[in-house]
Amino acid sequence: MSSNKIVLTSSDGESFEVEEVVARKLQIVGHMLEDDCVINEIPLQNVTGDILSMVIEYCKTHVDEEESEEAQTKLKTWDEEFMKKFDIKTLLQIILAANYLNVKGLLDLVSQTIADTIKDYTPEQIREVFGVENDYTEEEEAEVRKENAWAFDEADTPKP
Amino acid sequence: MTTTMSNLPNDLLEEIVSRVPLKSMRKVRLTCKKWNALFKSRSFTKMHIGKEEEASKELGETRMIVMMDCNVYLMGIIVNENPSIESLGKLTCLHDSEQVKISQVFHCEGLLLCILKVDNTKIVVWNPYLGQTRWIQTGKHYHASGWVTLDVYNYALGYENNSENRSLKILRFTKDFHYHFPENVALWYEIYDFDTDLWTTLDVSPHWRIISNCGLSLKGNTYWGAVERNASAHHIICFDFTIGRFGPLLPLPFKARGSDFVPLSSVRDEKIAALFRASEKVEIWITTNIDDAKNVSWSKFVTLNIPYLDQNLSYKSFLIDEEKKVVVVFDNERKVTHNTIIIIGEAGCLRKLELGEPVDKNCWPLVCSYVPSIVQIKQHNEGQKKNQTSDYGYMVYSLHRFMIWKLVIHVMVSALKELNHYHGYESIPYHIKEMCFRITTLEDRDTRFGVLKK
Repeated sequence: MSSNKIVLTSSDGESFEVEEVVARKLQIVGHMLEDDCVINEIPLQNVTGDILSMVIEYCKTHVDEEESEEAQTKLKTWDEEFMKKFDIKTLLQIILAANYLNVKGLLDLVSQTIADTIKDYTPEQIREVFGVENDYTEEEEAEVRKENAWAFDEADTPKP
Repeated sequence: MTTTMSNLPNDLLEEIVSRVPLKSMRKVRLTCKKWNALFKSRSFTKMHIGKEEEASKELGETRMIVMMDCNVYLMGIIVNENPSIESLGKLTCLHDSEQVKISQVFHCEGLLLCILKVDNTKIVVWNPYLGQTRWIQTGKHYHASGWVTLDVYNYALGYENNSENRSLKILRFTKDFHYHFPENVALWYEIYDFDTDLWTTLDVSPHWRIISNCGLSLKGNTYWGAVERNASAHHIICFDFTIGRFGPLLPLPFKARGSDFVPLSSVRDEKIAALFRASEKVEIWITTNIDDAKNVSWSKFVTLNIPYLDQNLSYKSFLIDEEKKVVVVFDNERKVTHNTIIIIGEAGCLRKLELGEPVDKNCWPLVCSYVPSIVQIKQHNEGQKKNQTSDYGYMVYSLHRFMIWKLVIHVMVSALKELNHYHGYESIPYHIKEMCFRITTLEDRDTRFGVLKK
């Protein structure tokens, strides 16, 4: 395994020195390294230092993904704990960064975490928490309610 | 600029929303226009359903629709060393202070036809994934006096399978409760077309009797267990929605009798499984070939030693896991006191789960496997001259039928009197009374339509 160090620089000028294997977890970096293998400092324009540090933390933990069930469970627990640290605003920034840097695992993880949050809220709470504007007129909203009158919902379901 | 869900790029929004479970879809659609619009996009719904399937596959979970105690649930069952069942949502209805009660459910490739418990003037077809419904007026009814607690109609949801645009249809027919009935008397078959919004009466003179409580939908057609009149051998029969006719009686691989025949179940929407009892054992057979609803061949899937399944198999509902050789039976145990799910493997019962006591003792649990569908249910055309034609046609038909039966009964009573065999109503044999009953209901209905006033 290569122990080359790569320096990643964020949009606000913060630099992070990481091992090449970790940097390669960011596919955007991986592609750059394949194109030109002599670079050792990479500027990342669309991500700030605080978000980049979190992405790097994720990549470091996931650097060698073992197949064993034990390792998988351990990683899963780590992922859960990792996600608990962030509020919605930060999660949204992380998902943007994960998308830009092309870190598939992190993108999946954050998407799932946000989706899991959505299911716990009412539409009003969703709008408030996620900063979504209610652009329905009263009539339009009534129409959508009518269209969706029948749906599977979380109501008191029997627990076997 | 702060990052919010509103200014997230579309692909990321889709990435997130496609992971929200089915039971939260309504609130997602109610959040804002953009989110609602996602479900109008075929590429999004395909991705969403793909993710759902992937997730259940990873868990080893089978999705199923379960109706019990007049409620409809979406459930996931995992069959492994430690089988488990999880409820993934319950049908809830907005604009309805009293929760809607369902008496029967018929499934066809992700669409559900629901029959309401208290209102028999309309039925509803529902796509649980898209949240879409279409209400259909049934209009005409038999007043099934004497069988008030039973649904007198059997239904099937299917589609014409000859064009790109699958045309949905509903078949409705009166249940035939009379085992020893010599011939068909005024049974009613009609078919509803979603394109024209019309019910059309079908001319069916069956030499068989459908015995399944609920049909099985497969590739747009529906199959039931059936028995030839005046014979005891069991068969299956198919209604072909493309040609609008019942096919011939098809053989079963076993000789089932009476209550020892169970409804059918589908295997990955490709094959039919049938369960029957042979003394203490239960056998399950699967079709190896079923073409054009005319030919069928079977092979034995598994023999199970489950003496504890109670006598009446006809109201039980089951699912099979072909790979794991496991059968899941939904039952109403101990004389309708508990809804129970029994998971049975070759070695015997793996797990028994009690789902509580139903409030409604007449509601038998029903199960079918479920895969979400993105098929849009065609909505009513506004301004269509609906019902007029059908009502007129129906009245002519009813009148015609009524006159014939009136004539028959008149001739019959005259003949009885002639032979000095008419000793009042009590002496009339049961099946003749049944005939009179049918005629009375026709008369009731026709009077309502004002046909017989002249």
